[in-house]
Amino acid sequence: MASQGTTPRWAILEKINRRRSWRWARRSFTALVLVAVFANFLANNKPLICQYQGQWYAPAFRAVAVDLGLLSWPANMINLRWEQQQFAWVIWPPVPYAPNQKDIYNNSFTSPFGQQTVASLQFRHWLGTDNLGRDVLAGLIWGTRVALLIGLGSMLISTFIGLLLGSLAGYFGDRGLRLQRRQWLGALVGLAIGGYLGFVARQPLWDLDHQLRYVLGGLLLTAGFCLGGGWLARKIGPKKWGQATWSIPADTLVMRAIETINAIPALLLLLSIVAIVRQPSLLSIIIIIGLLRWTSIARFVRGELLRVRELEYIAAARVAGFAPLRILWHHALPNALGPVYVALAFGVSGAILIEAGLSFLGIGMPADLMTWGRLLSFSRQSPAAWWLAVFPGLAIFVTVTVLNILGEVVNED
Amino acid sequence: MVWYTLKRLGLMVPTLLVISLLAFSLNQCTPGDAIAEKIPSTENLRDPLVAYLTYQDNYRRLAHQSGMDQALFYGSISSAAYPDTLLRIMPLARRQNAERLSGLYGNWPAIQAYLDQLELTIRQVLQLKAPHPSDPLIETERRLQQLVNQHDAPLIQQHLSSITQQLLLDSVLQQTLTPAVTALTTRYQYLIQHPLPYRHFLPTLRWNGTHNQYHHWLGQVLKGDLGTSLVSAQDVGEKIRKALSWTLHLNGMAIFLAYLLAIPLGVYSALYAGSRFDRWLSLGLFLLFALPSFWVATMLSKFLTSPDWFHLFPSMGVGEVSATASWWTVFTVRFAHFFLPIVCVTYGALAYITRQVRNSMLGILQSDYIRTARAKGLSERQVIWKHAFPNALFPLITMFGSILPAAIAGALIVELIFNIPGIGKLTIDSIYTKDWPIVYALLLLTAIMTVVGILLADLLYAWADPRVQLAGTKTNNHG
Repeated sequence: MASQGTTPRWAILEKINRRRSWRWARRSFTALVLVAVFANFLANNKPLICQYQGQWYAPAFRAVAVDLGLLSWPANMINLRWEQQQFAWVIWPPVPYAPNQKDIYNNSFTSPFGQQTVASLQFRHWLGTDNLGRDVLAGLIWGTRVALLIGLGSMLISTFIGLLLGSLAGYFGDRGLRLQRRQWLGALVGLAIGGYLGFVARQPLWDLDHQLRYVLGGLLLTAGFCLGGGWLARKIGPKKWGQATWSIPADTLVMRAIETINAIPALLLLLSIVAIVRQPSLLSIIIIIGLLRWTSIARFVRGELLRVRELEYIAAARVAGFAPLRILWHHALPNALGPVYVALAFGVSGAILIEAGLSFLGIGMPADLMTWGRLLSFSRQSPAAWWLAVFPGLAIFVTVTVLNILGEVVNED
Repeated sequence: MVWYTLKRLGLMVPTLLVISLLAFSLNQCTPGDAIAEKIPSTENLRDPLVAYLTYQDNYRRLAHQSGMDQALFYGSISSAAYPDTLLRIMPLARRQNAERLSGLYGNWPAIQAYLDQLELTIRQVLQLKAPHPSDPLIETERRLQQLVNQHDAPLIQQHLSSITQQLLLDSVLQQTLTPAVTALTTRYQYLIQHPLPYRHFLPTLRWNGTHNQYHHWLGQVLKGDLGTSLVSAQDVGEKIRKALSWTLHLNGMAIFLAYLLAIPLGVYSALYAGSRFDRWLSLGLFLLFALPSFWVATMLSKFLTSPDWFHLFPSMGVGEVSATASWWTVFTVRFAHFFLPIVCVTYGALAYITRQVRNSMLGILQSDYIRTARAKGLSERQVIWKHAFPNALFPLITMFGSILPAAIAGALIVELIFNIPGIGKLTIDSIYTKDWPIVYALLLLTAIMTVVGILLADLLYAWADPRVQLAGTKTNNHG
């Protein structure tokens, strides 16, 4: 048994504390996550707590509950413009603006240092506004959430695919993954049935513009039927003929897939897929990026497992008669995770760069979502508005640097 | 070497096929109707029915020319809910509506009866339009035209009942159209009362032979014909060729510069590994690596090309030069316009290449034969430049295969910002204008370029380092 305490999983967290720059990177990342999580209470046009018409409210908190479907607004507050009300007593969020809120008194590119028409210092636009009077700082705060959601969400998908395919390719190679003949047959039949039910019989969903549901459900059905078919055939299939084994050239298949995906310039492929999504949403972007960027993780896992599988303790586990999947999952994979952290960190920063690029171009992102890239693209409308170019770009740069430093931690001693 | 080349070429074929399938199927998923936009207007024809029929004829002819009435692929599998005559329904919007109705109800005979009756009713209305253009008739026609693209049951019911009411307003309409509209309503009621959902679970396989859209498209592409632009009706290949030349100029210069700077930097930081120079360089390159090129491009174009700040460089485009200008004028104009974009593309590649050179040089300096060279008394300069350096360059060859496509993709937004008419700007502009043939031709072309680039780099590497040919599969690992 490999002892849990020394696996790279935990070593990495201890290692981060070793250098000052690494500690700073960890703290900055935590800060970014906190900003992303609490964006509603950091920048909002609804007060945190207020006394309105003789009653106490917490509109910013209530808005979250309403978005989650837990509560609803009282009738007189559904379309209330909170920023224009008089309150007997009120606490505003640190930035009293919502990301898409238009401040008509400070529109057409108000500079951070210039004259601003605001009620008090609290309502100042500290980082300026764009042409419609939207607050840049509020956009940055809410943009953090989008960036991290896309970066972490897409890499969650990538990691899953990359770990799965990379470990199949690396640990089993071309000859190691042997299946009984009847399993093969069952899996193939299952694949055909699942593929038909998942993608052909559900075609109306695609035609009626439920593309996301169509693709995800189709994939699930296909995978489920394929695995189920294999399992069933092993249970009830013919014994004598069916027990001979055939191997799957897992390594070749996976490497060919990686090469094919890598042969297409990533941004171009992404642009041409994202551009034809009919109703772009955060989820569709996350899924598309996730499905396209698993290759580097798969390659790292494969390379590492090629090394690990030759180690003696794996041979010992094999001799001891453990099932191959158990050896892979419990013994080989934990020792191969080191380089995966590197690929993961760089993958998250890469996905954030892609998101910024897409929203800079305004292609494939939901139109009402405020993001760093979108703010940066506003700067092209006015040559004088330096704050629109500097701050969003700085946010992207700092985030990417922090993630890259966290990735470097594994590489260095 | 010949055997190795053949093997690598053979491996390339399936990759290219998969990529071509991808480009083709993405192109099929694009929204919009390319043929409807090309069709000549029929509004000048006085008789509405003739105009309507002429439009349909024109559409059918153009669709046949472009192969839209053919099957998509060599074979197809679909559920029995869909008729095999779907491809003959034109225009595209009607075909899609028939498809949606089939998906909802699965009862093709009933759907066909309804759609045929709808067509018949429209023609009757149009026939009546010239002699009797009354308001209820216009309203009826409008509602019928909406029915053509409608699959949603409540909306269809609403249109049908509203049409029935319109007929009551006009006695002429009532006399001529009542039978048709009644038939339409009954057929629709029959359709929604007799759905056949089980037909979704009956697979039908069809073999279409080589007479299919993919086959024709692939043939055209192999002949070098990438189609015509939807927006400007220009030849896509011609447009791409012009753009590609700008992009290659930009990226070629940038990569050349990057190599020129990266090799000495990398070698020196490897020779003095751990020194202050090495540490600062590593830090600098690390930060450069995280610097998004579109931010740098935005900042440079904002602060260095506009009269609001520092007007050091011309702002946009590639500059105007007359054909008779001297080479010096051409050079200075182009240099001024290309300087900033080249900076933006170069620094990313520089950071990457320098790191590779440093690592490769470090590895070589620790190897046995360098120790031998030192031991036999060669001078340090001879050891480094004659023995270590040439060997450290080998990995740079393979890298070139993947750097060029990466640079082209990286230059996408830079080209847009500096308004350089390269393939990056062409791609993005084509996406904005929904000019899909260009987008997917570019996708295909850059993919082919990448595959060929990697192949050439691999062959070059195998030629320079014969060990590769022995363990041929090892070269697959980069990329």
